[in-house]
Amino acid sequence: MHQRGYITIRLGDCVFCGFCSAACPCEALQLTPEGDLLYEKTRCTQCALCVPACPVCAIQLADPSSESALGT
Amino acid sequence: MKTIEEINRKIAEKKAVVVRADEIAELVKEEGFANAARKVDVVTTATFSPMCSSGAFLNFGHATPGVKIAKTFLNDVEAYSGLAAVDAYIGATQPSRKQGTRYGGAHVICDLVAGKPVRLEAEGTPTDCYPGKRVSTIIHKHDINEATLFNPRNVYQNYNAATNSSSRKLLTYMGTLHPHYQNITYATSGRLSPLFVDPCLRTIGIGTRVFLGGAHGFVAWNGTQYQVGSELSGDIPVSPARTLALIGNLKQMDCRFLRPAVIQGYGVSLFVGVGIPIPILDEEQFRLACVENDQIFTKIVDYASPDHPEVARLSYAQLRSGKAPLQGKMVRTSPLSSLKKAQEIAGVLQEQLRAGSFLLTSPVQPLPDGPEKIKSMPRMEG
Repeated sequence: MHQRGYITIRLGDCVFCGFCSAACPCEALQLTPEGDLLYEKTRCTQCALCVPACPVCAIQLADPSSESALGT
Repeated sequence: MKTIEEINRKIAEKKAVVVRADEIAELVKEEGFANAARKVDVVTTATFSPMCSSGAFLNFGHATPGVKIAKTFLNDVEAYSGLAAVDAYIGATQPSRKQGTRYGGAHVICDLVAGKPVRLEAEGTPTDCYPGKRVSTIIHKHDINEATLFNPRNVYQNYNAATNSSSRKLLTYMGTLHPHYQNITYATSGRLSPLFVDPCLRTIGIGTRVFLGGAHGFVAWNGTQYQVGSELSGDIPVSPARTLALIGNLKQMDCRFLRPAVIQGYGVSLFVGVGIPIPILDEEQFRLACVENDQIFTKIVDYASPDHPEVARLSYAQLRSGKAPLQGKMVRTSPLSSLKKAQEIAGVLQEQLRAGSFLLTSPVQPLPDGPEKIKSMPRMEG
């Protein structure tokens, strides 16, 4: 079953490909023209569609008590 | 006019002037075209994309008693065994018989690169010379004879970008395509991509040494689905054209530049990092290397239609900006090829060339000037 919630991105695992950006329906995840990943939490609707879309499992549902979105 | 030999002498003396393809514009601005063309010896290019056409040839060494292996599983992923007794080819996209597409051939390949243990289970057909019936053991990269990465196809010269006209979300190898043309996905590193920088393959051919997955590999042949007749914009095709078959020693590769991928709704693939040095032999080669993203175009095709018709044509500058015009509105664009990793690879290759640890090779044979167009599978009659 698909779970909803805020996400954590493990930047150490991220390859900055952009599959998550394509999956995100609200443009909360975007690759900048320079190739960096930008996560705008204020745009995030917690749909978590990016979690299964990440091909390298770098995005996970966040601990609800955590404020952090970008990990290391 | 320079020769490969002259450039190699400068590399060996650690005096070669090496720039990344995405740094050229700045250099030309500072020094002027003619000065920069004379000064630069090598331009580094790179790509880091999911490349399904990937796999590894393995030789396990012989068991006692010998087994003529007919069926091989590596961590429950089947490897093709219709080769010699203890040879196999593990394809990147092969799913696990127990975990399906959550784990596959690409994961096995990367586990081997990482030095992790991999379970080998194989069944044989006993013969007088190979009487054994089966083998079950643990292998590591250091205790098998050979592990050779082979890409039948890599380094696409352009790739059509994707969109979706239908009312249903599509999960494809080109990522998520939202309904009603809501987004576009695209899959090259633009001006850093090797076959945009040397579009006519003036310097790349069979035997060209390349950076492959963290090791030094070679162009082995033209890649599959190689074609030369695609429509051009300037010097560059606007749809898939040439490709390269690459080969290299998997044992020397690095997990930073080879990563397994599970693409939702599609299956397993392998991100492969490739870097190709382009020697600047003359001013024409430098002119070609100066290409910018606003000069490189690709077709946007509709994945909702079986024949993927073209619905728009955009430049990589437009695609890279994050928003581009499609069907009368501005839509979101997402890459599927990592620019950041491509920049990292082009930088590593640049450092190796500057340090004298990567020498250029002259092709032993140019890649073919045909066919104009690739064939489709024949339709069944009746």
